[in-house]
Amino acid sequence: MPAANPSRSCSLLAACWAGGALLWAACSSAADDPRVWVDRMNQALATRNYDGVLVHQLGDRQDTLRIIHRIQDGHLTERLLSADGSGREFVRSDNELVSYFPDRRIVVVERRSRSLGFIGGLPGVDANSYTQYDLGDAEPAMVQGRPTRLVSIRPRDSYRYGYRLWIDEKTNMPVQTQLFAGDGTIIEQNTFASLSLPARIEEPLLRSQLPTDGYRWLRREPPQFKPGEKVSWAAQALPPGFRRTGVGGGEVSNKPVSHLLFSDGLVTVSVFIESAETPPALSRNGTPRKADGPAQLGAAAAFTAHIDGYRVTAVGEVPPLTVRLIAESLRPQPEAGAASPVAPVR
Amino acid sequence: MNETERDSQLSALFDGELAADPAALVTRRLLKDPALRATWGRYALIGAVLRQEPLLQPAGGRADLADRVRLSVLAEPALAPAAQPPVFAQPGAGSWRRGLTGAALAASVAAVAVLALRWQAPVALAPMAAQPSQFTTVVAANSTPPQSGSAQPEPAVRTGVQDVAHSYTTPRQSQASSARLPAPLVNYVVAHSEYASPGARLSSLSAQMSGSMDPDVNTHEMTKAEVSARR
Amino acid sequence: MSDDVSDLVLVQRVQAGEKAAFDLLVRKYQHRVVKLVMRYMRQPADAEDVAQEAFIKAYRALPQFRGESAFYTWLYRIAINTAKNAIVSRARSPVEYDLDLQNTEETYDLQSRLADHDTPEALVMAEEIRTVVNQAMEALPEDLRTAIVLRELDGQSYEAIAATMDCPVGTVRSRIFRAREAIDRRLLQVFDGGLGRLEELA
Repeated sequence: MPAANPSRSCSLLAACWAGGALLWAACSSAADDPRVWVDRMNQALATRNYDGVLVHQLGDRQDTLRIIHRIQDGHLTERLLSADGSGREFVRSDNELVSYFPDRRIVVVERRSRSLGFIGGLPGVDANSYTQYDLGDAEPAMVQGRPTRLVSIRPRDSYRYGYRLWIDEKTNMPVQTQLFAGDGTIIEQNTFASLSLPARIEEPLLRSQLPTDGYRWLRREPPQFKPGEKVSWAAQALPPGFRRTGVGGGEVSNKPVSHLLFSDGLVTVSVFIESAETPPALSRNGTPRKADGPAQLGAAAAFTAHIDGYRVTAVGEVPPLTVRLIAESLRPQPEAGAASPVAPVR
Repeated sequence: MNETERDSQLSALFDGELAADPAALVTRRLLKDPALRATWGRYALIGAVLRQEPLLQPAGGRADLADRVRLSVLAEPALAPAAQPPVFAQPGAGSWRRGLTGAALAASVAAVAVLALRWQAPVALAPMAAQPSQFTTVVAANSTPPQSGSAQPEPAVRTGVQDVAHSYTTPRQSQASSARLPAPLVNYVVAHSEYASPGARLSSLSAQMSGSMDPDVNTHEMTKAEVSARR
Repeated sequence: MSDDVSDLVLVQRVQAGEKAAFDLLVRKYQHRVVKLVMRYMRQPADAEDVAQEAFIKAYRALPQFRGESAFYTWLYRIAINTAKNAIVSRARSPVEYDLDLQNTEETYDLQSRLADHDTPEALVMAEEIRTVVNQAMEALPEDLRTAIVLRELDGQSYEAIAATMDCPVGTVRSRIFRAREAIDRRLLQVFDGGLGRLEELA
């Protein structure tokens, strides 16, 4: 990582070692550099085994989950158990996610395009983040009697959310995280109630123990989005700080869909574009499906706009206004020629 | 049986003073009924006070002892190939957070979380309902029975009482997220979750747990061979 | 103790694969087990950790439980052994963190860090529960109070209590239930709407 911001001339602790004595003075603050702590946290999340009880709070809803996470020989295996009486379970092995819904006697197997744990890190915190966010020093803070560093990443405007991460000083694990709006309202909070970092996690602990006899097993093929696909859409005016960071094409329910990614460096908003003529405009029981406009799912806001015969849906963990602005700013590009503005799958 | 008679039997069961047959009956009821389980827990608490035992104290951000044991046991193999899957809650009794009167609130994880988080610096979470008027009212895409010829779990879950599927409670959605998202939007959110920020992947799973994002049953059925290959 | 029958019913359900039945045993005995373990551990939080471990060990060993002794007697032995082992292993490996070692095994329970400063709110609540239960006890008619004391404090069977109190067993059963009901009602009143919190302590 280059030392791009002069005021923070080392973005990684490692850079200090390489930099030698001259940089020493500048690096003396590394102990408090939020980027160093976030990097350590990302590292811990990506490399450690852990088994904990997590209290997840979102809106008016709270869940207590047990999460068992193992990295062994470069392979990720994770199991998530809910304690809400539904018995629902999620088991991830690298790219494959198996969801158990015992209350409905269904198991869904799906392949995801990336191998990511249920708890994500926060990659992308670098010198550029200071443009859109205000990063304070990693301050010592106690969480339930344990010494942690509190990293606050505050949004400079209302187009994005902020993050608070309480990173354990000893283990670098995020013992508590918050997603919060510019006015200070907390959108989502995760707190580890207990956490252990075992050297080994045995296989049976990572397998669902549900009796699945008589269950329906379903395979879901989520859209396989190919990066770099040529898509002829352009954004007219994006919210400040956002730029296009990726383009792909894929298929959802046998319909071609374009996928665009917009990011401010920290948060990513997905935009999906499909032809508006494509059914279903009606749900199966014949009622009109009013899926347009804003919607909210978990911490993610979504907005669907109709633009030139296309349905444009933006989704992301940003305020509702931001997905709306992004969705409405998109236009098909005329120079695309005869090709359909929605990329076909190859 | 009226409530008093029921609780009187529970009290006798708690003391091991109920004959085997009624004991089996009351136990079955107890396992299904969160209100009875809560009463059971309070009987234990009363005894603990009288014997001057330590009252197990909830502390910040953690589940209590019984909940921690429960979560551990959940991850363990069942001791026998269950003749019937474990019973967690009574179907139709509502979710663990709502649908019961305050007095009948189950020994719930919700209670743990409330306590846990209240212990922390007071947290005022933005209720998602803060923008309810903006929310799209959507038709529950999954409310129609699955068209597949195989088992149709949904009606069974709602009506049959004997069905083993009843042992699990389909979580009720919280009020704020009562609008179920249509399948395409759900697919988009799933696809997006690969790019989501920290915690957000968890929140989309949490939405699936809450029932506001049900599994999309309009997908390919796996063949028997595929399924058995997985076990 | 005459808990054998109901415990056995629950044990058999757990043995048949029904995990939720184990939760009822845990809720019934958790206070007793923690008190027992506190003979070995000074910190309540450590005692809770050991109790947790003991319950999980008991769950795993349950297939071997054949009912030759009462469930609690059996659980008691597991808890004592777990506590002794915990003392030995803690003496051998004091909790230490070493970030340089990739495979260091670290276990912590945030709760255990709370040992030194239990939250005031939790303490207040526990105190409130004790007060309410004790007040409700005071308010009970003599025969109800005697019945529940003989049962909960002395652990006597209904039959023994009947002999002591010179009344039929059915009356004992009804007195104990009425005592519990009266105390329970007070608990519910005091924590009206906050039963979840209360249940949490149970």
